[in-house]
Amino acid sequence: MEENNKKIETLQSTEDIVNYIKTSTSNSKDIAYRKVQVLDSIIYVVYSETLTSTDRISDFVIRSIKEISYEDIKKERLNKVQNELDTYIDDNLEVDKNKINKKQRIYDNLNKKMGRFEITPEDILNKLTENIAISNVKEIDLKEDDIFYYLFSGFVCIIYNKKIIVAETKATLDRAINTPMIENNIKGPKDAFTENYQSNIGLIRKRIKSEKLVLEENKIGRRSKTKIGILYVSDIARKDLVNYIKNKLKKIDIDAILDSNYIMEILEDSNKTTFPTMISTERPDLVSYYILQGRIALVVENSPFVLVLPAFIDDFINNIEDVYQKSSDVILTKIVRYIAFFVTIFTPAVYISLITFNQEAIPTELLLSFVAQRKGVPFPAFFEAILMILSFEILREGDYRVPNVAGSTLSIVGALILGDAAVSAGIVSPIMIIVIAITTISGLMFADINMANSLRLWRLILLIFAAVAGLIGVAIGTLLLVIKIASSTSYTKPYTYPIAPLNFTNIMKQIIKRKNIADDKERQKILTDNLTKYKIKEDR
Amino acid sequence: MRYKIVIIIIAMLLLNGLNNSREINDLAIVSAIGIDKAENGKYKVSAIVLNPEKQGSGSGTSSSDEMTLYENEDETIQTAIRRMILESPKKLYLAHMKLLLISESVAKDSLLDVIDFFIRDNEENNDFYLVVAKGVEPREVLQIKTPVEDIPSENIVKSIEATARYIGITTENELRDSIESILEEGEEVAIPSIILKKEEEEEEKDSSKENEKSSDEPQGDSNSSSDSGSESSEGSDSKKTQNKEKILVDSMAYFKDNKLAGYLDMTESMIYTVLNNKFVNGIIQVKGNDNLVAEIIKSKTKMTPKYENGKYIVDISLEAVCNVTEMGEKINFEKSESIHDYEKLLQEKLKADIQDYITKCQKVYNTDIIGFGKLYREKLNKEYKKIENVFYTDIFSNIETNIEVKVLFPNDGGINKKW
Repeated sequence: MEENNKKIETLQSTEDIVNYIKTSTSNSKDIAYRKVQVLDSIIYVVYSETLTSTDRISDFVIRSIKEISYEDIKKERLNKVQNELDTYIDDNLEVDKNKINKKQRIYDNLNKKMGRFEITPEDILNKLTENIAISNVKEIDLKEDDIFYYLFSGFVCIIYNKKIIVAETKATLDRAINTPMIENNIKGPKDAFTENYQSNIGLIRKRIKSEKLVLEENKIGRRSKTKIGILYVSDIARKDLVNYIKNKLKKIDIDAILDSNYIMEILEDSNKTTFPTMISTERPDLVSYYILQGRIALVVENSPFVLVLPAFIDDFINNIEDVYQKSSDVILTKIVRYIAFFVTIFTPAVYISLITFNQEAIPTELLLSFVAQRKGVPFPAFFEAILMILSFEILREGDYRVPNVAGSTLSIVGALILGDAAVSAGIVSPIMIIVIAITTISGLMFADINMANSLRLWRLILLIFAAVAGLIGVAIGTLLLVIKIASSTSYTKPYTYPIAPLNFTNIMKQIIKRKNIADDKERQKILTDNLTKYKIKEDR
Repeated sequence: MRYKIVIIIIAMLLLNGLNNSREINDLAIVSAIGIDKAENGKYKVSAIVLNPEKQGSGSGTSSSDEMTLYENEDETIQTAIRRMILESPKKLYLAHMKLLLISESVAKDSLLDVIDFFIRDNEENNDFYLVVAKGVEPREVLQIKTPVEDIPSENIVKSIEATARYIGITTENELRDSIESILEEGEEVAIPSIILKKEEEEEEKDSSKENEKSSDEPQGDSNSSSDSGSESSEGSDSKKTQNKEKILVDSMAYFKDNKLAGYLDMTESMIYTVLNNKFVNGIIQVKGNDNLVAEIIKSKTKMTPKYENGKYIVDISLEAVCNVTEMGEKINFEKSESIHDYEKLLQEKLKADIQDYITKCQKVYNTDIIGFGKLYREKLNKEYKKIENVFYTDIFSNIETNIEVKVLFPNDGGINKKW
């Protein structure tokens, strides 16, 4: 940095600055340099061809530069002097008949003098800044600001007389705002974040039109210089949490931030858990919902996923869509989700322990059916389960990556091989297909990929415990799982809230059922001190 | 450390986990065991093993392969069952056993000897029914197939359950419910029994006579019933006409000193279940102007032991809720009679039956299947301590009872008048 500063100090002329840019970028071909003749001097216009919109540069920058004329500047100057004179005369000259005549005489003299008036570079610079028809224009200092950041953020740099003026002429390199790709919903808003930082923030701000919604910005990444926006509602979010996050972000010194997951992993609490401790969502309505609870959102440039923290395990099981449906009907959906949560973790493990250790726990008719189905299967049940889980995982991973055109082929082949042929060939028993299928389907209910992966991991761990020690093993594994989840924290907040530490009102309010919006008058105490959320306006 | 854990886990998996892991295909699932005495005094054990391949495969399968019967004779039950492996390709798995059928000869010998293996074996669930095969060899009963249930043992189990639920003359007692009474000295159990009924003409007459006899008069004399049993078993040996044989649930068999002592009749069996609060549902019939059948849908018995003025008295109060399910033409509640008359009739009938049953238990059978001993031990322990030694010799048969029966008809089945 110091070296750079020294280099900058040696720069004498406009050409030097241009050369400095050229050498620094190793003469990269996508940077365009244009000389524009204005009056007697030359103005350099430097911009990155790939990041800027050439139309905007030619329409709003170069044309306005060219429009600068001697007459204009002179006229402007004249006006300025005249105005000054006017005030002077008004203030100082006595009021008499000759006043108007005197004034006229002075103006005439002035005009004659102006004929010999020299235009200074400052005049041109001022006129230039004034003329450019772009709202985001500013002058930067080479020493203080990083010219390359502006250059590669889609700004055009106008270099003249050792001064640099930048104007934003970004090309749109982003997708349009679209429906969510992962977090689908039936009711409720259907817009989703994109890679564009500005529009992402806009999507949130248009939902919370309040001065209390604060955006603080950090640039992280030595090379990527990614913008990280910290969004929170200032009178709801706790200051200590905001500061905690800000301090953590400040300490980050990394090459590049390419996605919000980078931030997520860096910020993760020291007690590493396999469960996600930060919500990562593409839904602006969800983010707005959360920051109004007192949580903090991190908007990462170039990532369509906005992070929200702190997060509790309940946030990953339940869904924002509950809020958009009738609250009385949501209770059943919630029960189904909890069942699916346990089914996806425990089914294979319990099945394995039942058929290899604890056969007495199966009803006789079911046991007979199991035995009949497993007849002729040469592998131990554990191996059979691993085989099926592996095939399903391969199918799933393949399904994620496959180009859309080949998607149907994959599912047909997958369904045929896994569902039918494997059974007819006697490699696996039909009941195992059912077990793995219900497990996988239940797992799909959790949209957050980190959550789904974590559940998958614990499913395997429990399966191993089951294969080693039967139901006792499953019990031990479950204990481990509970210990692991319950000891996690998400940014100093207990992960299993409101189950542990127990908060009965909140369990009733959000775990078991969703409280009717009209009855839900208070925010959660764990997230905010500002509790009033809903009150009925009094009639007057 | 991490490597060590991984290696341990892999090793455990490769070594097939802890040593009690076994694949379900390697188990021979035993559904019923029959125990009989051979002539040389050894136990004759027969086990029904289910063949799962044929289960649930739909129609068209030959029902002969649904199950396999293994038989073995040995001095102890454990050795007999274990040595069946010599014949069977798989280890016999007893946890799914539903029925333990003992012959009369075994039951008369010692009940405790027989069930010891089953309550001691850690693989066993003790959730099977203990049933006496009245006058027939267990192995014979276990082989009889019925069109309703393919597996004979299932048939017996379901018959007993259904009888307990809808007739009320047997209990749905699994072995674990009776273990306490079997082990406690003085307390006795009554267990369900089954009989084999032939449909051949001569045999049918015999067995129906026998049935009448058993239901009409009390069978204090255990020898007579066993005699008739041996006769019928001989008959069945001579003629093996499978389809014409029927398994019927009979009244309860009562024990004395853990030895089979005889059989209750039908009414007594029902009173037994009522007094033990095992009664679920059953019908009772009274005759006033005409017959009236009531279904007892709820019954609750409360027995309170007392010691007053040197007398041992037990208060028995029974509350039964009934539905009228059928009544004769001549009954008309709107005119002469009221439904309460029939309540009273029923009350009196039940009261007389209970009184009868208790007297018989005390005087004729001389066995405490009512549970007076347990009652005094638990509720009046101080008194019981004093008389512990003489309770069954002197006191039991002289305990007086105050019986109070309350029968309620909440509705008359929707029709209160014959048209």
